[in-house]
Amino acid sequence: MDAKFDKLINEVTNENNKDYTIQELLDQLLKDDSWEPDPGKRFQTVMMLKSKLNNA
Amino acid sequence: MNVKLFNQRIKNIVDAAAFKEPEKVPVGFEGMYWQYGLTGATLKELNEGDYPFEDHVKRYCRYLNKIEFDYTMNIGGYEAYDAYLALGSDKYPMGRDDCTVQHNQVGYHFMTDEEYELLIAEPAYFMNEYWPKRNVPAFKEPRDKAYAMLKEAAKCVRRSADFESEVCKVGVRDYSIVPVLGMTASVPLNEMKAAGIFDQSDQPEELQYGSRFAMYMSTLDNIHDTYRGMLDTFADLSDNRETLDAAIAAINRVKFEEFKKMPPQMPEPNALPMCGCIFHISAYISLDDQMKYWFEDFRRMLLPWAEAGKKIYMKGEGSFMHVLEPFREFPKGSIIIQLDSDDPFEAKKVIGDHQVICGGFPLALLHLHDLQKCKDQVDRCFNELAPGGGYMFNMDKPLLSPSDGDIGLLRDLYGYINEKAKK
Repeated sequence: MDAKFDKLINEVTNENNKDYTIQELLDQLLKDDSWEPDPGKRFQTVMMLKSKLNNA
Repeated sequence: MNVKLFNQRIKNIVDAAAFKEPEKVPVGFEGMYWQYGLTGATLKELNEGDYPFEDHVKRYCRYLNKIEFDYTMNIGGYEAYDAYLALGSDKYPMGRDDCTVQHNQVGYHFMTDEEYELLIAEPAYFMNEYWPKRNVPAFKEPRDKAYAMLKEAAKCVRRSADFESEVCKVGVRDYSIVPVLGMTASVPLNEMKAAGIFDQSDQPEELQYGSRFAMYMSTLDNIHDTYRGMLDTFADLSDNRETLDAAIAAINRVKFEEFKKMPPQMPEPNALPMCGCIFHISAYISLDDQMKYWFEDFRRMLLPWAEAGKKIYMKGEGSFMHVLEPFREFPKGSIIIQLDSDDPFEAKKVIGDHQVICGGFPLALLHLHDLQKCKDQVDRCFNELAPGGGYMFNMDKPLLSPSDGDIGLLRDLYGYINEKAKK
């Protein structure tokens, strides 16, 4: 990534969130059957959630 | 389930689109949160309180006993406001009536010029990582807490999707209503077929409710709605086109990479479920810009579906009469144009001999509480728009809040509409 974007990226990154990505959290959600046992429904829900996050 | 009625309603839609006068002009109804005026409890109470899920569905569907209609675009969808709440976001807050979910655009902080550069240079990172971390409070938290909030949001999204699916099943099974868009209906309808609830194998393929569809939203709409906002997008169209075009190309590259990962979707000849597309920015741009930023991708994506026999449902917001002419390039009767602010009688002259006009009744008329005035408008719709086919009745806007329409007036009005719609 070009260093000219460092300032922007630093503004959305803090000590709390610097060690994970949104994609990692979504992947974890996809594997986690504690909130939805049906893998098909899990996949559909994660896709819907991802779309909401992208448009947030 | 009254399969005969369901099949007849599909045939009426297909006949209207073929510019043949159907047995009955298809009558549509669109509501979203208005239905909560009849539920005896608010959306917030039914969704978050002690009410069982089944009770929420049952209460929501009460309006189906009052109002008869043939088709709908949205049969039970509510925006998952509680998912945004779980993420700490105020993007879709609940309204004061605890029934109507609002879209909070007032406090938006749209993309700056520096961020524009980041989007163009690193579009996948920008869309999937930077933008959510910038805007969603949950992602300011440490991993474990952020994950817990995300999981809670996922449960809310799931509950909303399950609700929509269940309402769709009730609408089809108990009222033979045809959901026109696949996003809402293709999964529950095919589950019902698999469960033997209804069988259409005796129908021609064109009239069977299929399973495949495509949705189109232009990348310029995406930039306008999400990243840049209305004023800055207009400024870009005026004097920053190079940057705007570069951003569109960057987003399209990401979309294309995502698209390549999906299983191929071959167009099917079934007219329904329809493909869908949304008009947002089209109301505000010139015909030249509409062709460049909207129509060319639309044609590339949806023309093969239209040529295979699939219908396309266009839902617009605002006035878009000035961009309707190019839809003549699509096969006759392949596009259902749901009008919003435009005069349906003028739209009929512009495109109504080639594509289907849908609408005709201004929601604002309901607020006069004058049944005769409403009937006069209905008469005009059927007298001027319906002859020769190519017309589907609907209102110009959906009933959003419980206060948007009196149930007694609507019941009497829809009784009249359904009589007029018959040959």
